[in-house]
Amino acid sequence: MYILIVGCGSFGSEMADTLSQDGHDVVVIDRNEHSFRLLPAGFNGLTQRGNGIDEEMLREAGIERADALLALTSSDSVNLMAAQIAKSVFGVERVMARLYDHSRVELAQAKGIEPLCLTDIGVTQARHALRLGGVLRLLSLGAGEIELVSLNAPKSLSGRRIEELELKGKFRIAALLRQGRALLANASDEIREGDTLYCLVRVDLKDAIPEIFGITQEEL
Amino acid sequence: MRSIVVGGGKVGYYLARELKRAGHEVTLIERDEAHARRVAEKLDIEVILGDSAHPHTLADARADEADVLAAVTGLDEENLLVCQIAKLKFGIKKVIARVNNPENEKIFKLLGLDEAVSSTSIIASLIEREIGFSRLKSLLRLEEVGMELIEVELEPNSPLAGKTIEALSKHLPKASIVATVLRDGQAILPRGDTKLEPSDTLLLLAKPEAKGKLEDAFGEKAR
Repeated sequence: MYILIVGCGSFGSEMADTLSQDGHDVVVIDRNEHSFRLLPAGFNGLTQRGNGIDEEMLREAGIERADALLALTSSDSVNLMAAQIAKSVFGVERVMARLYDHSRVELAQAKGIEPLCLTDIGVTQARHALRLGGVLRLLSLGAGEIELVSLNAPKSLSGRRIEELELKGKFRIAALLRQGRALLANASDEIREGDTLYCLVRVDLKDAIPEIFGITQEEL
Repeated sequence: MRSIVVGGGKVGYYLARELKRAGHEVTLIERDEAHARRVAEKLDIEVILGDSAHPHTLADARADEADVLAAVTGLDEENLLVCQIAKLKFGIKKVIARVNNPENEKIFKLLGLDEAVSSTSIIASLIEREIGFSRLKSLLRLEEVGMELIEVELEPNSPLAGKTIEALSKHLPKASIVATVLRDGQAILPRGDTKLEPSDTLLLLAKPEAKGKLEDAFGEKAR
């Protein structure tokens, strides 16, 4: 893929290097020549100095044949504008914008941009790491049909077997975290107190997990 | 009318002041505390300190009741974002974005903002109008061929009245030609012997470098 990255900060430079190592053709753009120092010495892609919201500069960087543009500067507004130019002016197929502020996710989606909301991602990760309870959405698959969620196994589930809790085509415990180690869930495994369960759930049932387990919301 | 002005720099300050004078209920949003305080001290309007592109700030400014929002900060990307959020989340029908970089005027329109105001373009059109005071008005620029279509209205007592096109042409620069004479709502294709009448309007085709001499021909000197 031919990928343009706008913004060569710590995120942009890491992304550029990773995608380049994955074998993609990468051009990374930054206003400040200085920023390219963040790229490792062996970086295989191209760098271009310029403003990511400058139509002419994007053209010079080859946006007309780009398969994707990732707007990763530290400014939500710059990212949203660069992404919209890529989408609406040049018709780039995959366009992502890094956002800090969650309130801009809806606007991005309305404009056909895939939001990368770091705040949302960070909050989810921290809640997951803290294991405070409740059902935590970790990942949305496909167009959102299936979600991967995690939850701490409530006491009342101790001793229940994985297969007893499966709802064919609707809900399945895929893996569990036990004493700091992750295990793929076998049908005959018994749930223990202190386990964290990783479940795949059809999106329309994501709020029905207590009912699936036959427990109350408070027990989660 | 209830208006929201985003940005408390020079443009925002004067815009808010004029709107207030025109009887608008104005709220100004500014993210910099010192700027916000300065505006609040000078103008008797509501000033909100905050990030204008954040829905909370717009909600504080009662954006849902606003008739119009003008985003006039010095950053084009901020102005775009605020206008888009105002439209999407608050349904403000009339949003106006200041364009600092004239290149972005076209982009803003492509991205769905109908009202993009570029100060550079405004100054250019003002200058154009100034030139219009000497009766030369640029109607159309044919950029590809480097020509301009210029309108000149003769005054009722114009000394050019009664002269033929041939006689007039002697006073016109080489890089210009009288293409049409408009008289009483009719277009006349001029010949050398066509006589000019008072209050005729001439349409000229000219190269940009000829404009100075055209000024002389139709301005003070010709009278």
